[in-house]
Amino acid sequence: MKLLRTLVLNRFFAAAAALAITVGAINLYVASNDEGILSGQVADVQGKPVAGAEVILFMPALIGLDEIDRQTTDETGAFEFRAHGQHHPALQVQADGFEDSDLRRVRLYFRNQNRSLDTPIVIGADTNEG
Amino acid sequence: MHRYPKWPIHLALIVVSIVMLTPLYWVFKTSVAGENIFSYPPSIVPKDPHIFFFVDVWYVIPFAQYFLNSVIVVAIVIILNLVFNAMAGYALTKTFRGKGAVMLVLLSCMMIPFQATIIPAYLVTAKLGLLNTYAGLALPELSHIICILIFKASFDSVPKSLVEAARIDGVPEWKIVYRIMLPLSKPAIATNVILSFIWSWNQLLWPLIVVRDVDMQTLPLGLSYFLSYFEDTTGALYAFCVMVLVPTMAIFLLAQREFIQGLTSGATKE
Repeated sequence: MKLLRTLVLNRFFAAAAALAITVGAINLYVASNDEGILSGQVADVQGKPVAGAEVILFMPALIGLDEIDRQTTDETGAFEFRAHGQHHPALQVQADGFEDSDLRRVRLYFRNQNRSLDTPIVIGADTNEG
Repeated sequence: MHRYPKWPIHLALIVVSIVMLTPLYWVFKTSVAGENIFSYPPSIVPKDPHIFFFVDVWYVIPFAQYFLNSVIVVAIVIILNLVFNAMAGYALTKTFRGKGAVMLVLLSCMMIPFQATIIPAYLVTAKLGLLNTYAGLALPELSHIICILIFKASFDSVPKSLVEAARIDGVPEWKIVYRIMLPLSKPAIATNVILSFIWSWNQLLWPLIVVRDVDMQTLPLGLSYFLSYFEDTTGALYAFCVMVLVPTMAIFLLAQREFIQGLTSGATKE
């Protein structure tokens, strides 16, 4: 008991223990949230979901971006990528009759972090509207 | 006796502290905000701080591998520094023929910069077959003359009667160092650990010359190569700097009391 008390009050041991506990907790969180699920929704400028839009997932390269995957939105405008293996992916949406969306960069705290976009990706004005 | 006001001294110290700490604050601020150093006007408070630059550094370069390499080299350096410097410091507490010449040589060698000895150091390391190895990376850092002198000063302050009593009891010299001198010289040990840690952790030139494989690079070497990877890397670059600095600062903050005691031990005669 005395040894335990001496160890706990020792600043070197306390610092090492605190670091080990923090690293362990972070690793546990990462292990339980690293399926690489990146989901979101596509909407037009009026906020209506766009079905059948093509969502392109990019990864940063030495110069520019490299495409790694594509998904098509469902009837609710939702899309989902899995196991993308990135920590800083980017998304862009293309749809027939619409202007391409701006590039949406997604920041993740670790590779393959599960993340759902807070706001929908907005694609441009409907080019078919007169 | 006239009492001088203390506030001018405190004011001067505060100003100096601000001047000294501003670059460090700037590094931390840029690592969480990513503001370009050439932007004008510069912002004092970080705008939209985040930790994603640290994430970029972790994944863009093999930071964990570089960190492990640095830790292994530093561990070898610290352990062998303690052994060699303690033995040398104890030897210098003795009186022997030529001691003055030895001290003169040691003090003279302190004035020779490491860069002037890098060619013979490389040739010796190559002949020993230690290029691109952890031992080769640690080899030039295995002993520091300043640390030898710190141990000497600390051992000089140990009462001679203790050593004499141990000799009378038949204790061998190495046990005198291990059981009597070192336990009474904890500040010197802490100083040795901190100084050897800082010098070996921040070493760039020697790893640049000795390392051949990317997997064997240490953190400072990885940082120098990181600069050549991307153009706009201000935030990530400063995040990398912070990640390299933090272990050194943590070690110093934990052991600063012993460090200061070790530097000042032997300064006053009892």
